[in-house]
Parts: sequence; C-alpha cells; structure tokens
Amino acid sequence: MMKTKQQQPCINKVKLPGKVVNPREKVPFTQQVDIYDRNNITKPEPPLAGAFKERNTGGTSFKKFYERGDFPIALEHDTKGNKIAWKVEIEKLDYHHYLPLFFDGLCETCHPYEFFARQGVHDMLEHGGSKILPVIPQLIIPIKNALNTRCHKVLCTTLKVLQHLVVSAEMVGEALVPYYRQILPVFNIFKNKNLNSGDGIDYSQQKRENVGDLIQETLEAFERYGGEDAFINIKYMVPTYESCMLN
Amino acid sequence: MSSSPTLSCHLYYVFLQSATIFYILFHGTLAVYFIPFASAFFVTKQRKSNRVLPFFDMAAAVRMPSANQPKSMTRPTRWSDVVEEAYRFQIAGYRDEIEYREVQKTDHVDRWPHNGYVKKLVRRDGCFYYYNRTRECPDKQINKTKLYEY
Repeated sequence: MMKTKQQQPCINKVKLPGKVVNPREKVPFTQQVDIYDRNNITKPEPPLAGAFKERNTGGTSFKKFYERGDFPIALEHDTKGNKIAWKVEIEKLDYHHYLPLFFDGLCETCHPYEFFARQGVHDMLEHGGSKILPVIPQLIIPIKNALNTRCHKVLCTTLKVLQHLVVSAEMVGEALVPYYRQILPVFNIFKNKNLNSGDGIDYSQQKRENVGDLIQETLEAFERYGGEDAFINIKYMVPTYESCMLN
Repeated sequence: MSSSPTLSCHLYYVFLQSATIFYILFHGTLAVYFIPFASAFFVTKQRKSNRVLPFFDMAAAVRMPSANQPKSMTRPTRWSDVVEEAYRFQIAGYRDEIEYREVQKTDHVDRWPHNGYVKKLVRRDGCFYYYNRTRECPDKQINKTKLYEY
C-alpha cells in the first residue's frame, strides 16, 4: 500500500516494539492501525473528494443573450404577481433556439437572470405542447450543467423544472430515459440529503426546498411517465431507489 | 322747414341705435369666446372632476361616456373561480373581461379547455401574459382583487 507524505513522518518517529520500522518497508494495515492507537497519534484523514462542494460554472450564454436583449421578454417593474411579459407569442417562438437558452439560465443564481430563466422555462413548457419533444436532446447538457453546480438553490430549481418537463407533453418522459446516465449521478449523491431535526419542524420540506425529498419526487415522476424501461434504468443509476408503481 | 331737422334727427337716432345694436352684437359674440377663460380666474378650490374645462378640450367634454361603466365594487374574502378570473385580468391591467373586450376590440379570450381559466391576455402595450392551468391567485392577494358589478 502506498504511503502518503502525511503518513511517512508519523511512521518515521514510531517504532514497533523490539523492531525498528523502516519507512520504506511495507507495513501491514493491521499493524499501522495499532501503531497510531498505541502511540496516541491521530490518524491523518484522507483528502476530501469534493462530491458535495459547489462548483462555479462561470458565465452562461443566457446571461450574454439577456444583456444583448435577444430575448423576447419585456422588463417588468410591477411588484404585483411574478410574471414575465412576452413581446412575442410563445406559440410563434423557435423552441430549438430559445428553450435550450432558457435551460442554460437555470445555473444562474443572481436576480434578474434567475427569475427570468425559471419563469421563462415554466411558461415555455406550459404552452409548448408538441414543440417540446424534438428539443429534448438539446436540453440534456444544460440540465447536466445545472445539476453539476451542486448548488442547493440551483438543484431545487432544476428538479422542479424536470418534474414539470416530464408532464409537459406526451412521450417526453420516455424520451428522457436514454439520458438517465447523464443526469442521474447527481441524484445519487444528494438523495440522502435530508435534515435530521429530531422532533422539530422542517420548513424547507413545506416550501419544497428539501433536496432529498425533491429528488424522490422527481424519480417517482420519471418512473411514472418514463414507460416500462424507466424503473430499471433509474435503479441502475440510483440503486437505493424503490419503485412507486410496482410496490 | 321745421320737418327737415326733425327727420334728420330721427335718422340720426336710428343710425345711433343700429350702430349700438351692431356694436353690442359684434362685441357680444367676441365676448362669448372669453367667458370660459374669465370664469377660470374665479374658480377657487375645486376637485379635478368639477374643474371647468378650457376651450380646446371641449371635444373631450362632449365625448359620450362608455355604456359599460361599473356601478359598484366589492372586495372578496374567499377564493372562487370568479375571483381567479378577476385576478388574472387585473394582473394584466384591466378591470375585468368587459373592459378587456372594449380595449382590445375582440370577443375572443384564450382559455384553458379543461377548466375555462384565462390562458393568455394581451396587455395594453402589446405584450402577452400567459397564465397557468391551475389556480394562480395566492391567498394574500384575494382581498386585493376587485369585483365589479354593473
């Protein structure tokens, strides 16, 4: 077993009873553990892998297009309601161009980019109909980028968007099945991220901001609308998931 | 000999009277145009609605009011389909469906087929508002919504 630099100085100072330890000599693992315990030395922790660490995506193309004014959205200064005003009817928009751009904006966390991306995606999915299905392959990379940020707020938004996506039109859930291996690994990481508050009240659950619960809801939506092969593909990527339809 | 001065006097008085009448008529017609301006100086404290309109806005004064003006307004306390409908129109800047049809000059309003809620509205500036299939009016906006009666 390869010794790290952190371990070598410790082992250099320690001697086995009746035997001088050569740092270059291979010491069995059971004897290593014994050495640290008997000499009251704290075993060095392995370095963190950073699975839960938030990652910055840098600038998104949504922000660039928004600054240029390429989106058919009118700025709203009315505090009543949380709607965006569209300059062009959504039915006339080119979904192949605009929907991936709005999905790209899901990585944003600053106002107003975050608001316009989220609400724009919501409106386009609500009123897209049959125009959504052909665009699914172009949405996978923005969804993957959003999930890979590992940011709590972005994760919650993206999970809710995915739940809306699978119910927005027919066959969309089944069209997502081949792409599970690209978007479900992050689900596996955060699936057990639930707050253990004892007998307290978790208000994030009520506001739908608990990541663990949102992941469970999203996986159930995938299975419900994904067809026959959905469950086996989900189980392959998220082994701890249990079916909500077969049980 | 005494009649000619009398006749000339008569003629002179007739001329004076006619000149006076003409003078009054001429200046009187002109005075009509100045009465609104003159009266404006004597208006002290009035509400906007009772203010005397200047001459150039008389066209607005003689414009006929809309036939569909509401007579009363109430504030709801509970949510219902009627409240939801009113909320959606008021978000877009209209009083209700009647005003929307008058302003946009159309009888057609886009609605969701399954429950009849408003789906799309055109704002006064030409932009479009899209609404969800389900209820959008939150509880805290119910008492801020206005229900008009005709």
